[in-house]
Amino acid sequence: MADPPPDPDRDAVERYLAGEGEPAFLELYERHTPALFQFALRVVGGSTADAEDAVQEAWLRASRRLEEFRWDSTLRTWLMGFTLNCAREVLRRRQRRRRDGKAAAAGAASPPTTLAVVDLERALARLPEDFRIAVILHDVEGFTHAEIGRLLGIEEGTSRSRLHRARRALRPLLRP
Amino acid sequence: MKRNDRFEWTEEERRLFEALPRERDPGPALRRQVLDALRRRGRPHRSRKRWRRPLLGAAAAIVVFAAGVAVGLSLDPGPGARPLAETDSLGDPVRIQHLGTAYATAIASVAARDGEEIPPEARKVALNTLRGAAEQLASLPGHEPEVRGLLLSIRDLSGGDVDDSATLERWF
Repeated sequence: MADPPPDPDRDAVERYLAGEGEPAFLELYERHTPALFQFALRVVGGSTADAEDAVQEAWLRASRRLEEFRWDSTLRTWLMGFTLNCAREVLRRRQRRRRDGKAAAAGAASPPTTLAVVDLERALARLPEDFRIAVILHDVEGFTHAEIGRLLGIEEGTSRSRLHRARRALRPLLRP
Repeated sequence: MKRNDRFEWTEEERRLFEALPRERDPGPALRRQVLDALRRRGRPHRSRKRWRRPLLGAAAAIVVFAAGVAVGLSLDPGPGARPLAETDSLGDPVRIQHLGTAYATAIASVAARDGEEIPPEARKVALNTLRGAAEQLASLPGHEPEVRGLLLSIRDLSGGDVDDSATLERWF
């Protein structure tokens, strides 16, 4: 039987931990950042600046913890956990700023290509945070309820019911 | 990741979700910001555990080597060692050994610190100092193989930061 193809993530992480440093890190950064950025952009509701903050902080934290990663999920999933946490922290900071009356206008992301997708993106951005995250994780990113439960620190059943309510809230927003 | 529980969406809604972009390039500015932030924190850096063990080993080798030289001086200072003994104001091999031990241990400790605790420049200086100590020992005759091994291990630790290939060629 042929050997399985080498995992480029594992290879880059091993080189990073072995002391290659920046080249190995950049390889990981280039491979995963576009997906992490798009994910963060949706979670924070479309603010480019907030998504950039979340992704930057996620990389800083992940680089500090790479030695602890045990490969019991894909590296992408692990990195998305950091990105999700950082994006939620950004949202909380934004809410505090708004409460303090110091909210700054967030830079809007450049619009996607088709009208229907624009409608869905806008509808997602209008959902409450918990509902938005449930739909993004499950229906956009394809995480299972078990994975969502681990990421958010909730029970699988809670994830299911939250998704159900989120979908019910989202559907009217998709209808003109 | 596995898709399930999609039954609530209509075909049209499902197609909408499928059509959502999964990636977006944030541009080079974020890349610069992330790298700058990492560098300010002393990363991307070598693994702390992988650094510490061989560095402390190198320091221990220097200490053992220095101890051997000191004991040798106290017993029978040879022609190669005499200039060192004559110019050293302490004139006490035991004190030389103690000072050398403290010096090498302190330098190795600095060099083995994680990037967050100490600037990378300081670690580089510490590594160069260790290398300098090894080179000083190399000037004493009769110990070339040991010192060569020591210099090679310091070169491995320093990666591209310290270029001592010329030194190795000069000495050996």
